[in-house]
Amino acid sequence: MPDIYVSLASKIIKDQEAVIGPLAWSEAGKVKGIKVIDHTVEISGDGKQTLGKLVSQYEGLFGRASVEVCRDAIRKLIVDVDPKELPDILLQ
Amino acid sequence: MIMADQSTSQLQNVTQELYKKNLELVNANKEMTLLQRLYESMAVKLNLEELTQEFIEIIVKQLNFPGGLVTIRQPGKQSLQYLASDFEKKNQDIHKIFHSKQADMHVSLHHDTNLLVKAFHQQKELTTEDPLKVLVPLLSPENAKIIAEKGEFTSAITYPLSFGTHQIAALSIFFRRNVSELSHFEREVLNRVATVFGVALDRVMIYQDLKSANKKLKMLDKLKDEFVSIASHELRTPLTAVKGYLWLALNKSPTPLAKEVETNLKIAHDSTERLSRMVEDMLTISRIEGNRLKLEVEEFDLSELTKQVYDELSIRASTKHIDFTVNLPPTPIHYKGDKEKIRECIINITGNALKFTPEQGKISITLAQVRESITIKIADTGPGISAEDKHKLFQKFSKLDSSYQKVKESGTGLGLYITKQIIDMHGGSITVDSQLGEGTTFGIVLPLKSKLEAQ
Repeated sequence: MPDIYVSLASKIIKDQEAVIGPLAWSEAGKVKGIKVIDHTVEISGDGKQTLGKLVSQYEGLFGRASVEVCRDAIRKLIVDVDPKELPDILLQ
Repeated sequence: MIMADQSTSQLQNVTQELYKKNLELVNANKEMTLLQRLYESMAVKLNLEELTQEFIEIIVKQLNFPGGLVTIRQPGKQSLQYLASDFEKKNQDIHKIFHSKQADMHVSLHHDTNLLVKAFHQQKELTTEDPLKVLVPLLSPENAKIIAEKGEFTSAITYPLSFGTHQIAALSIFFRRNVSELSHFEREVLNRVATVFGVALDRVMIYQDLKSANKKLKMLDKLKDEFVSIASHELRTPLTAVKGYLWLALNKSPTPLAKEVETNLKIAHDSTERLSRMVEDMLTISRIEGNRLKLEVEEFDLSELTKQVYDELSIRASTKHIDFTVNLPPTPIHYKGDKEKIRECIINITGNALKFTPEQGKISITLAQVRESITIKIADTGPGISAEDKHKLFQKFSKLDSSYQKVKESGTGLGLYITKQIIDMHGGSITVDSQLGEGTTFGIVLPLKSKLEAQ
């Protein structure tokens, strides 16, 4: 399961980067449990919780619109993922 | 403290507004990219099925939708026929069902519960939380259920595809969420895409109509050519016999002919001769216009050819007491083209000059090479051609108003048209310099290196 969180976090950060630029990476690096090295993401600890924190980090700065961007970003990747494995903030 | 909080809150509002603006720009950019891809496809795809398939693939892939399909109203039929679809790669089963059933996948325009039909009739977008309302009766309820379950489709949106009043098709997109969850951007883009799709389909259908009309016209033209060709051939044989017997009656009569009979036979012989020429000209035109006229390209001395034409026509000139001269360059002019056709052209123009120049007049043929072009000038002291008549000269069956035409010996009206076509085929041109009462100079201009040589 950890791999899927890395994929989801990476996709979210990349889609945020399209909107806010490199700030997306530096903000992701501030989230506890996420380590960003040369645009590569590493997640330690509880993946579900860390992913939720990443989305909240963007929401805290940029509001609800940024949460929609996160949801759109992962839409295709979560087809086979049990909703229980995802943080509430990413579920409608 | 309160002021600091207010400033922080204002700053956050500004940041969030900026984010929204950036997001709008990103979305606008995505939309532009998508539309650009559609326009690119529209520019190169002229086949209805191919264009539709590419459009649906672009829409589904670029907008990250699980799948979509297009149905089209077949001309003269009261139904929407399946035309194209695209689904995520992982849904191979869906692809299989669609591809195996596509030949008989259609829905009657009277089936008013089907969303495709409803959107087509109402000419507005319609949504449903039941994808089966799109898929049935396009597919059997069993297959439709399999597709909806495999794709995990929970909703669909259907757009009518039209251009102006031309209702063409219907586009359906399937989702794994409620349609109400579609973002403003997605709805906007889908609206625009539907408009572009309608224009593209209309364009490709017009192209296909034109193509089919063009095919029919070509077929009719071919039939006309064949008719002219066959009729001309069929006419030629009896005409030759008639001409031969008339000549025999005129020249080999066992008893002397009465003056009146001789005159009448001569008129009949000349008319048959003219008719015969006209049939030959019609045959040539039929070949030219049917692109069947083949040039026999060879290298020859144009100087020698001009001299031969001059010698051939000298007898006719002398019977009219015309001062007929030829001016040739001191060295041969080697030219690559169809010798016999070029001879025909020079004879045609010089023959006209002989026909229209009065007795005691003058005609000269001058051949010259200037740099990369060859000019054959045929000058006469005939009645000349008015400015108004000049542009009619090279038309088929042209009837000139000026005295140029007022001669006993009238032609078929096809000679100059044929001459121009042949010279054009050699990459050359014909010039006319004339004033009423002051004679005419025709110039055949040929490029020394003709386009035939280049081939």
